[in-house]
Amino acid sequence: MKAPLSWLREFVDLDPALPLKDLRHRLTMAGLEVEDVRVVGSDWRDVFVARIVDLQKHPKSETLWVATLDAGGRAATVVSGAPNLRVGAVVPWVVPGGRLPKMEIGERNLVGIASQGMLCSGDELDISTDRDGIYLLEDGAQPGARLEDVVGDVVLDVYITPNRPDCMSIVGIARELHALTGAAFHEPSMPELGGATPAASLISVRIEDPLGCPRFTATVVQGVHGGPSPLAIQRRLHYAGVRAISNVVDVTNYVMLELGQPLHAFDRARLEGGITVRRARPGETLRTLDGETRRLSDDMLVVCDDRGPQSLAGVMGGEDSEISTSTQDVVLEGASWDRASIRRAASAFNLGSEAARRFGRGVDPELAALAVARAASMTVQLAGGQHAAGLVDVFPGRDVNWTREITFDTARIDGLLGVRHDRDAMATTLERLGFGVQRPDERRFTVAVPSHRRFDVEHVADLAEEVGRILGYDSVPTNALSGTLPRPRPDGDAGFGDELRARRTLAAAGLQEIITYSLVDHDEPAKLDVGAAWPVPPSTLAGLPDTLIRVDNPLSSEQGALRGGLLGSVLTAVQSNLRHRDSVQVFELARTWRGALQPLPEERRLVAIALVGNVIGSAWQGEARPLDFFDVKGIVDALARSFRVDLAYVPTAHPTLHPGRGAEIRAGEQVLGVLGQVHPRVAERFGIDGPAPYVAELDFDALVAASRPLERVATPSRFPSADRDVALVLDEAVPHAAVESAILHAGQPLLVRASLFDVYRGEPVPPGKKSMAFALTYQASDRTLAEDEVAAAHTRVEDALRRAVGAEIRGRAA
Amino acid sequence: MSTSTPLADRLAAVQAAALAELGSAHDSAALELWRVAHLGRRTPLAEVMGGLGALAKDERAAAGQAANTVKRALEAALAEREAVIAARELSAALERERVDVTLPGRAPALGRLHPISQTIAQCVDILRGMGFQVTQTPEVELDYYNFEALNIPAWHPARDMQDTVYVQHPSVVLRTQTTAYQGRVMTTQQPPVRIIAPGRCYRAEAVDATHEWMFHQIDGLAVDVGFSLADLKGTLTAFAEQMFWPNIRTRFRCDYFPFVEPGVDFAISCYRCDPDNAEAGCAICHGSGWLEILGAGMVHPKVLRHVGYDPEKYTGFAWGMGVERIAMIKYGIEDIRLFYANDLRFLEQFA
Ligand SMILES: [Zn+2]
Repeated sequence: MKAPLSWLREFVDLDPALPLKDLRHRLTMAGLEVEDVRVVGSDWRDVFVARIVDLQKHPKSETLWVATLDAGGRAATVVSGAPNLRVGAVVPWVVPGGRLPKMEIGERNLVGIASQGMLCSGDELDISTDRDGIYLLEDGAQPGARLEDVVGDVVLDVYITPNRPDCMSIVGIARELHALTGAAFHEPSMPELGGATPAASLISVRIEDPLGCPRFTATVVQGVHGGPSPLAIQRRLHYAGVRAISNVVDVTNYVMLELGQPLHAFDRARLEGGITVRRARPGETLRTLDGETRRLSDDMLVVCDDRGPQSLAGVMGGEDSEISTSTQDVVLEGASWDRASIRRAASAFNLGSEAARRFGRGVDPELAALAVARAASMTVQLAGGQHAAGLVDVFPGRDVNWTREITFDTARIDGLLGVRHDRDAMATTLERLGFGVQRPDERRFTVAVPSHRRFDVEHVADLAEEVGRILGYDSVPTNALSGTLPRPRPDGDAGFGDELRARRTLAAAGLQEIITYSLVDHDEPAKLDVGAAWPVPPSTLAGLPDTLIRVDNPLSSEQGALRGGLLGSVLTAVQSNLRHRDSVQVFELARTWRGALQPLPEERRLVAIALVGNVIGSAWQGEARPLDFFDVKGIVDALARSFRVDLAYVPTAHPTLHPGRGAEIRAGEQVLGVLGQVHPRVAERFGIDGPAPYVAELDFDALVAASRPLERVATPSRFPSADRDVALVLDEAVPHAAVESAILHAGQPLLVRASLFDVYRGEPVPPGKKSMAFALTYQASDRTLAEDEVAAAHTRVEDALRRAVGAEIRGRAA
Repeated sequence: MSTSTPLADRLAAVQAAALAELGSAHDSAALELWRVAHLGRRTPLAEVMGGLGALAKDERAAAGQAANTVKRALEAALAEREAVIAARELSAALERERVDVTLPGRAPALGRLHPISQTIAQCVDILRGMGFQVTQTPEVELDYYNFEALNIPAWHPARDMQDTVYVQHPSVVLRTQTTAYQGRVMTTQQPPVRIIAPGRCYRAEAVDATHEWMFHQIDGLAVDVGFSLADLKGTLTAFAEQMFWPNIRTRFRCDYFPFVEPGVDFAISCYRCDPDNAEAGCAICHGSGWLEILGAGMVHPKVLRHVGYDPEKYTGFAWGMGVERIAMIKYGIEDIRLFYANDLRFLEQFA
């Protein structure tokens, strides 16, 4: 809401000595944030009022004029191409050396004649929107005066929060200033509408939907002469951000800005019969002022004549009954509308008119008559004619009590604010804001809420805010929080700590965490080659579901659906970083969605990892080596270990992955996810050249569910251990997991550790075979193992290897 | 014994010659040769000693003593020389092992949390220290929890404050504020309540340097008998002092959020200028001297009633803060879009 200070001063006697900075600060602290202040003229230099005393055609130009100016005894010659100059006109003149917001003005030669400064349009001065000609000032403007002394003002641009529709008006802000400063407030008064012809004889109003329209007030002004409004009115409208159009329309806007009641003016000649307010009928249409034909629905309120809808109530008028220059008789409407209906209609047509914004937030029904009367009398002032006597005021909502009373113990306000305010100061504050205050006893107030605050004040907490914000929150002390701590929550920290642990583990493993958008292109699964072919049941799959869940109103198609997995986003981040580096090691832990809405979709946390490039090593020492499958696998293992989950890896043919370098990640029977090298075809789709990244994606919720709590730990054995190696030759096709499992199984209970330390292929190992070597450690917790115990255990391991995986035992180190 | 004898002269000559030779031994190999030559079986000294048999018994004893003295002197000289040479050789060996300490180190790969995760973790640490518990609730949320339960019915003007992304049904939204947890949490817990909820939020907003359609919030809530705006001020001020800098100046001004009443906006002093004398052109605070970091207030009685708390008995305070905004202030980040561009050159600075 842009509020010119000169206008505010018509309603509140602000101390002229009050600095603008303080005014701004007080409004802001009280919840009316002053976002900007325009001091009209502050961005001009040396702009004066001048009268054109002589005007000649430029001798050498068809389009230019040479004007001789009188600026209060100072004469000048200015060349101008403006079409609206005439002798006697009073105009804004920037002297040479002066300036306008966007330009410095000097003396310049225009086709052989020196122009001393320039004449300005309203747009150049930002005092109107007109750019077609020079701004012609009112005749009373004194030549020689500084322009800002004639047209100047200070405009406060106040952000009005949605709970304060009453402050979307000059009077509303003036009332706040009254409460904040104590300066006298002048409540707008109802003009007498005397006249020969009663309004009711000129117009009839019928309301069919009293809930939608609790009040409809109208009157008629006959015999108006359309034309521009006085310049002072036009400038006020301009400063308030509303375009001046013509006197009759300007009046409706002026009164709306002043009082907060939107008005509508109809050309009475274009209305047939009486006015009916009702819901639109299905299929009805209305051509609105902006020239659009609107198809109405039955939840919209319309103002009709005998033919049909003439205005979309509270949102926009109809083109057919619009005021024009030939309008003679005007019907002025001031109504109250159900705010939900207005909001629905405005959003259905995406029409954010000033009227709709106010009605959508709530307009005090008590304002309607005042505003219509004010508009009728002002119309006569500005456009001539005669207003009808009185108003037609249909007020079915009159019986609804628009005001409410709240009785409370004043200590409750102290309790909410944490400070005790003086009771008289509390009462005065509330009274200045328009509340009625009665004090039935020492402790209590009974506060009558005025109709202009009925939309936001219902409870003692609302009154606490009124007291607090006007008397200032600086007086509230700063208490250290004390009191009883809450009981532990049944769901603990809802997984926050698990996520942090996973993030820290992965960061410690050398990965950079990234955060990518939760919405992705709906076609992302196709880009990853996943779809209906994926064999693992979706309930256990950490990969992508077949189709993503679309959102209704995405900002762009790239953000059209909730993501079902993280891989696509992570690969995109990898690609963008490969533009300026060779190695990228990243992870993300985030939520994904899948399944039907019941009522919400299934929300699962996934972790995705991507590695590409070289192991970070000492390159100058030749240690850098390409990252590979076993790097990503080692990281997944580390993550699992930090949750005490044992993983198994099973070869898989995941379509996103290299067919020979992909594995399912399992915890017991449950599939947690997949890892492997991205299929080159998929990598290419993501714009990744060179070696395809190694990735893993796993279901973090499932990982956490598989996590074993750390219940008790073992005391390390005091007795020495015995180390034995075993080297074996076996078929290439036998996986490490089978060998390891055979060793661990056979070595029980004395075998405490078995680790692979060599894999070898080539001479002297025959083709199709490989050699593997393991270091085994035997130990007991209760004794030193005898040599023959160790030998027996080791023999069992060797036998098991021969039997279970067909290994040939080679060599035997002591 | 008091006069020199030819034997004594010979011993002295043997000793002098041996010591002179020892002086030219410069490594452990030469020392070993010297030891064999002068302290072994066939040595000049042994030769002299071999001639002792011809002497008288008493002379023999004195001569033996003199020869032993020479031997001990040679042994001591050897030990001393050995120590010198060992030290010299060790330092030579160490010198050969000298490295260029300015060559690049072999750094282990060092990952980091995203600055948003780091900021959330810091905020959570501070607030846990004040007894707040952490919770998390769905990001795809029911309209009911995101709006209705927070005193924002469908037609409510406050809906204008947030552009909402809907998911296939008017009752399912991407949560626009983590405040959505309040209804879920309070219905499962009785006061005293102290809880915070960090997480992602979404709004259908155009993106610019200070607005992202995806962002993070930490929402806080404390409910008990007797909580007031003074407790809110104390909690948020203590938080800001720990999160930003001690002796920070704070400002509470009236603002509107439908789920609190009274509602306040909480600002901290600009880190570049002084609120009492703000620079008109300050790019950080735009000349106000204050940086608005969060919205807060006393929990609205309707919200309390919604979850079955008696607003006549309990009061509470709540706030919601933007994690990106906090990180931007803390680290001087000028464009919010940097957070989700995932440029490692940006992210790696948050070590
Ligand atoms: Zn600043």
